[in-house]
Amino acid sequence: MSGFAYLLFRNSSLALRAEKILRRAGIPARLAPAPRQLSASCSLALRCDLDSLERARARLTAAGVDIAGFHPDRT
Amino acid sequence: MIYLDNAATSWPKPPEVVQAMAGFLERAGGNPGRAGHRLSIEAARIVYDAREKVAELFGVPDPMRVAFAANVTQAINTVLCGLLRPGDRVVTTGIEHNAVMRPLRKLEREGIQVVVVPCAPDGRLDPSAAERALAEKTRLVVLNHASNVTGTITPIGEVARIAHRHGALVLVDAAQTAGLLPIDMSALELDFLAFTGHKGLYGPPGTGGLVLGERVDPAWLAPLIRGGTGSHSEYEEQPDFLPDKYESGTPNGPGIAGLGAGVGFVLSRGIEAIRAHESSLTALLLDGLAAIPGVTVHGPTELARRTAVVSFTAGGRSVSEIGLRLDDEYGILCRVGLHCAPLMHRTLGTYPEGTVRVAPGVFTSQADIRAALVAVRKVVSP
Repeated sequence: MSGFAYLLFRNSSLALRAEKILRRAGIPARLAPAPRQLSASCSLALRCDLDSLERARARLTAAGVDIAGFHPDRT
Repeated sequence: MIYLDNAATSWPKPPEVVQAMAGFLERAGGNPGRAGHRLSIEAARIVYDAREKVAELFGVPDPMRVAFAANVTQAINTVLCGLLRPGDRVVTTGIEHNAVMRPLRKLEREGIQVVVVPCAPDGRLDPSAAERALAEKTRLVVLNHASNVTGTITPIGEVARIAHRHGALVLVDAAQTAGLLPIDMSALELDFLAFTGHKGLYGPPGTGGLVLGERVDPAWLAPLIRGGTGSHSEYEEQPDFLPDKYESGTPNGPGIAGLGAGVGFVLSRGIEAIRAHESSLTALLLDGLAAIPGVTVHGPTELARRTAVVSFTAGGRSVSEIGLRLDDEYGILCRVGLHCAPLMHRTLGTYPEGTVRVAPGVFTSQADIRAALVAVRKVVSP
């Protein structure tokens, strides 16, 4: 998964909402299956460049989107 | 043929609704939210976009508070059966549809107290009568936004404020008004809104949903059914978050695609314009019917207090015979009988025979109404 970061959400609806918000903010991200080692859910995840992760997290948090988890987690 | 049964289901549908449904099946046939491949994502996107449009229409800031259902009846049942417990008290009105009355009568047998506030013979609800009914501790007020028999509009905002003052929650049945009257859930302080997709929202049958108000905690409300949601798949317990808690099983993707297009149609045409068009048809209908000897129009005469649903009787003439002749001889399609609302017909005094119901829609023209009036005059003349 090097080079990519994943943002996880509790359901697909939130992942779709997040995708729209990031697209409007000009942060490239695509919907992808949540990697099994990160989530046991069948939900979608958002995959973005590693470099964009912090910007994406900040934008989604500001928009009130609940992020269930992200990877890599360096906090 | 002139279709005047839009209170049962709107027809025809806008072309974009049909195209959206076909497009879902042709180009987005995956199972929304169940996989990560492109067809599943495209399907999920269509469902999510419809969710956003519904939220916009009803003034709901968070689209997750929109849970799709098979119809308004399922949404109403979700609230009544999921919220009320034995010992609870529920207040409703004399203009309700059986979508409300049947679950309530079942719950009554299980120890829930059901109080029906009588309405005036034209279906009008006096808010002070509702307030008197709320003197005792009440869990929920459930009320029809507009009668499916007479079009009588209920002052839902006023009743919601009264209900909240008395500590009760409010469920509005918007089957007849979604897409026709402005409904801002935040401004009106509604707790639950049950809507159908196939009437004033111009979507297909098999669509509708429940909207949860901002102050409603989903923990209060058990789901009607439980099952796969595509989320939290590692757990055998139902998710407690929205909208998944109330959306078990594969959703009606093509239907929701059509519903989204229908709501888009309503938003782009504008509720005020739709309401103005239907009110002008109602005025024509009310005046025309009143001028036919022997015809009695039921429900309010003031346009501001009613939707475009108009019920009439013609002395002792059989309403089913009138309906049959209008269809056979003039190609005019309307609905006769009790309209699944025996309580409302008792309020009107038209039980058990019922009425002839004429319900124009956004695609009905003034010429259609004039032709219908000519036909009614001929059919009811001695």
